[in-house]
Amino acid sequence: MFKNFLPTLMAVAAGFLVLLGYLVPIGFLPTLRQVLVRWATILAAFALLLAYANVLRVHIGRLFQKRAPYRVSSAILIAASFAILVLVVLEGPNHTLVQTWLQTVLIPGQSALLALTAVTLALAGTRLLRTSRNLYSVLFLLGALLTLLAAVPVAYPPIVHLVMQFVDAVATGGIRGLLLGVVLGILMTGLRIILGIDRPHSGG
Amino acid sequence: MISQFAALSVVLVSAVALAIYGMRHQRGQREIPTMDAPVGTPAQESQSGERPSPTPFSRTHVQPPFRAFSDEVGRVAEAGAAIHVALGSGGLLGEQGMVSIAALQGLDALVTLSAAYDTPPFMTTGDATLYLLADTQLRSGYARAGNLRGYRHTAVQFIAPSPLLYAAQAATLAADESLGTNINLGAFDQEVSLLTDAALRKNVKLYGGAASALGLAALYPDIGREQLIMGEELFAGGAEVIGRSAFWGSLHTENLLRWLIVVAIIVTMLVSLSGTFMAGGG
Amino acid sequence: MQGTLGIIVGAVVTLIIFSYLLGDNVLYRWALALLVGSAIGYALGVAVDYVREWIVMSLLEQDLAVSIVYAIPLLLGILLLLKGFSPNRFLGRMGIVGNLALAYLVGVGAAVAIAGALMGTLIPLVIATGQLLDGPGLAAVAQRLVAAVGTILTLLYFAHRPRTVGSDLEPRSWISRSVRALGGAFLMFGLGTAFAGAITSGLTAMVIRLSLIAELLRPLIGQ
Repeated sequence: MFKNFLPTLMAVAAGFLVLLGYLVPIGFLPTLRQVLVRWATILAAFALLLAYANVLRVHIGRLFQKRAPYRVSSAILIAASFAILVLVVLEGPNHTLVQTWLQTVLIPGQSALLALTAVTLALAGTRLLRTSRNLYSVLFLLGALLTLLAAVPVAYPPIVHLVMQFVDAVATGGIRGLLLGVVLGILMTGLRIILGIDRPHSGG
Repeated sequence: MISQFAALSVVLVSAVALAIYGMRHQRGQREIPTMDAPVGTPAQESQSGERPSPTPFSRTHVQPPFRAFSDEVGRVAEAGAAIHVALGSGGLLGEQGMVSIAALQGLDALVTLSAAYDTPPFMTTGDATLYLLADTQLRSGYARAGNLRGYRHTAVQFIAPSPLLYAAQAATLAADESLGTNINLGAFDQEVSLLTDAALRKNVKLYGGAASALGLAALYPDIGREQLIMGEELFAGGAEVIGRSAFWGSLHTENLLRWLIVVAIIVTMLVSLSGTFMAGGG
Repeated sequence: MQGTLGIIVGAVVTLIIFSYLLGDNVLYRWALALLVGSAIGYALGVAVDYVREWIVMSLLEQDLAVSIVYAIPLLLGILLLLKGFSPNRFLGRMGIVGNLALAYLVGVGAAVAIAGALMGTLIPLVIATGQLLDGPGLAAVAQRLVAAVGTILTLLYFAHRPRTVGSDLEPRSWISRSVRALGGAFLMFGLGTAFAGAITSGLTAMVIRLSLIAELLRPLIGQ
């Protein structure tokens, strides 16, 4: 009963009411939707607590493994997470110290990681150039090259400008088609859950 | 209000079509009048439409990447290595949540087989709610295999609550663990290139799939078309691997909706043109 | 002074992260652990703060009905926590009750995703694609037509199974083959532009980081 029936009933009821609140915004439905979505955000907070327990389990386990490489990394991770957690819980997320830490360490660090992706992507592009020579790869590289050229701040002649606009139109078509296909997938996956056909919450 | 009415109509049409196609498939009717019918019927699916068996190999027609996932279990186990499944950062409460759920369904065969052989993959997530779902699926796989005691809590790991940090930290698994295969399947953007780059440095075999253009663009150069699951294909994993009628019915419904979208675009074009001509004539 | 110190710390973190380009190394791992730990601690701190606020509000509430509204997610949250125990222990076996809370999350998530996908993506995209006469001149119309045709062909590309095994599943007619080939071409070209966009955003981040470091070094090198 707790494995399948009640969870499925719960998913169907919650999903149906929230969807109704979005699609039929009359009467009490939108307010009900807001309440139900807010409950879900509370549950997501509890989920984060479980996720943190998992992080601790993994990294504390590594600390006590004899041959585990990078044991110091695990120690740093645990210490940093605990210190920031205590600080945020005691002083609040907007405390100066917390914000200073975010501005000086976390944001620059993430920005540097984003910068790293430029290099890893460029390396991937060169690998593609070397290894794959089919028509789709050529089109992929052509799209990338033309877009990079268009990003260079040079005064191109009007005809080149026109060509670039068509390049943009072709790319827009491809990306929109991809997006619309994904929307269909999302719709059907969600609908199967709300109709109670699909039960990922019970392990499939 | 018009937008909500249109969305409601799409939902109702989809639900009715799903019911009809699902029932037709369940009755074993192979011929479905869709021009682009992409699917075959499962060869050994039971007439009741229930899941035929824990093994996914009862199918005659399977998309290679999904079949390859479960093939990897044996190959990697023989080599004494492990599989890393990176599920991305698509949380259940966002639009990407369904992408993550679809990815997990596509991995169902891998999970079932891994549980049966007690060679669990490392599954990593960048979202807490997705971590719970992946943990539940793996645990359920072990329960189905009658080996719940063998389940290890650290087989599914929550890595970090931000996509970039998740990718960078999960990439270190490729260096630390003896990995034979890396499957990056789920909600990814360009950060996935950190994962593929790390895997390639260690000569780990790569598979992948994403729904977003940025994620696919980052995966394509290293994975190639044959081992890449692109956009809407990701949502076909459940049908390919689990094979229940509802999943096949979903694919047929998607095809129906696809043509309705094409008609809607053409009608909007005609309305746009006629409106201008009428304004010009007036 | 505090600002300069912040820039110095940020620059050091950046340089250590960039050291990964030379190869995976200990300093990179330590910096990454620091970042991941900070992010997890912050996210969890915010979540705890949110739940604490919710609990305080529920305790202050006089109306019984509203108190129940506050109590339900907390009860579900406690059920969810049972999923954290090992399945070999008693509380872990009770973890199956936590499926109720997970099911709630999945159900709400499905509804939010459907509504967002339809009203936020599908309907606006169909309208935007169909509007041919939004800009001045014939060239603008032609561009919109190309984009619309590309959208339709790419969408139809996914209707075919390009990699199914078995001849009876392959698209047979030359029309469907052509549609698929053209749709695939639009898609790959689009992905190429996305690839360039990803590189550009990464490079922009790199330039910003490096310029901050250069700013920091300028007084040292006397320029």
